[in-house]
Amino acid sequence: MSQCHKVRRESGFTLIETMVAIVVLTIGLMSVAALMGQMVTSSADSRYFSIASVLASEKLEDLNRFPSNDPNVAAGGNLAGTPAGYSDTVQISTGSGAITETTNGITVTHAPDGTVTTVAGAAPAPTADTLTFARNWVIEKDAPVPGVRRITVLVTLTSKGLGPSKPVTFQTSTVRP
Amino acid sequence: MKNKTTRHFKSIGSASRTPQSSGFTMIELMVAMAVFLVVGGAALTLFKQHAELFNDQQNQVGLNISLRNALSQMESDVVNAGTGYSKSADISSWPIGVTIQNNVGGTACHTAGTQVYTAACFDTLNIVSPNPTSIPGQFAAAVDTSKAPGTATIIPPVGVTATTLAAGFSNGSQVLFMHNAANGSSSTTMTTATLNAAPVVNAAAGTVTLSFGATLPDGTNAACPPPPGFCNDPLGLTTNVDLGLLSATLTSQFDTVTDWVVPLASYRYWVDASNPLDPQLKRGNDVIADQIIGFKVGASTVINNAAGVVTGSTTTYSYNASKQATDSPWGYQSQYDQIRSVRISIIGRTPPGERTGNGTFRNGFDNGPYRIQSMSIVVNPRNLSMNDK
Repeated sequence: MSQCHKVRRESGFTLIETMVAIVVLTIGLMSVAALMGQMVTSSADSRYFSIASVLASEKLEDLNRFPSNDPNVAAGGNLAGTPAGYSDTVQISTGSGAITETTNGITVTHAPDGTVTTVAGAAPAPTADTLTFARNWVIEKDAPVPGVRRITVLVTLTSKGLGPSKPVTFQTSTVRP
Repeated sequence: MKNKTTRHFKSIGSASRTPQSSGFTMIELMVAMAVFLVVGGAALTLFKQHAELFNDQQNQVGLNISLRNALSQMESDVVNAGTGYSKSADISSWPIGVTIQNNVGGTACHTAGTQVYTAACFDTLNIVSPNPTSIPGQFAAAVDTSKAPGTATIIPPVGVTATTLAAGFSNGSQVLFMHNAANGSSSTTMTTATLNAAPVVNAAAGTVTLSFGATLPDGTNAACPPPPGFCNDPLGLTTNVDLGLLSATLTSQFDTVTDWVVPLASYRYWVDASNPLDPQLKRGNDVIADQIIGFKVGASTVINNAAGVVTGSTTTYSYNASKQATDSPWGYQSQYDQIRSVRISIIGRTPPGERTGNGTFRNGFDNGPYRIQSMSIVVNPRNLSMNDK
């Protein structure tokens, strides 16, 4: 009997051991799954950053086209709030059978059949795939040295889809006459 | 049999001093295998999903990068469009920086529910500049560019050999003929043609003979035939403009001493839709981006007040270059010199053959089994508008 008892104690894994092993494995697998989720998020975030940087360089390029006496490049602006003349919003949607891009209330719609329509007015209602970026820019005269002006553009992703999101911001500057 | 086995075990067991403790029972083995199957299966499923997700993400990232590359390439080209022209080439209503050919799209372009995009979907953007590495030539004798076959004998400027001059011209390159009137640049007239043979150098006479497609007598060019036909004005400098406005600046007559022939270094951005599985955005013949299903180029044009002074530019962009300003949607009668800024939009897709998402993914744009992304940028051709003609 004592010998039999000894054998039972020594053979195989106990239920506890098996369960511990399964728990360890589960934790491992769950971390892999969490990693996957994180990868998707960070990849999407990097795409948002990429779009934000394109929008920032576009605004800098756009402001570069004005001669130095143009009111569009007069000193002013604020990186916070929505200062008139120094901020705009860009709303990009790739669903609903077309791509719509709204900048400052002008909506350009690209349809799959190659047609482009431009409509001035309110932006279309956001859909589940709509990205909304806010662009603010500041124009400083005689900075960093006299005779030039520095333009700083800040692009913020204010919403992705219908809900709020983790902030995605991109800021860049240029110096021009 | 049973006893024998037991004895056998016993004998081994006694030999190794661990009687009956070795090995798993059948039940244990089966439980272990079942647990392994469940856990291993879960791991494999996770890995499979991970691999697909990773591939999907890679495709999206690749699409994003290729769109950005294409846009930055176009941005730098458009910004520098028109650089290097002589002052006398800067005449009103002559396109000296960018020309745009808009397609209106519609069912000829894309049939809903399909994944095929034809050439009618896409615009063409031409960047026009003189070749910075070549030298303009002067005419050895008066030339009528409408006389077939088109030939012109040209001489180099002082201090340049005929061989050096000829190096700037090659078969297939488009050249600009410029006629400078003695009384100033306001009556400068031009035409353009494409060389149809390599230039021939006559070293003894110090001349170069150019062969080109003859123009029409009024300085315009016939519309281009479909490839591989020879096109005399692939950039659309004379064929796509409103001739009522341009005719005063066109000619086919060129003189010695005052007139020049300038080789153009021009790039055409267009979408090669010949392979429906992979429409490619090209710069000339070089592929800039794969899987492009949208390429549109709009233009914002200058607004003049009654005194002819530029007061600003249009807030909306026109995608109908040849239409009138009063049309809806509006156009600018192909007066490319009026362009203040250019808006370029491209739409790309991930490779259609690749599995996307869980395999039943359909995008919201054209319902295709691939992801799409669009990117637009506003570019100002500085050379055209900073001085506000």
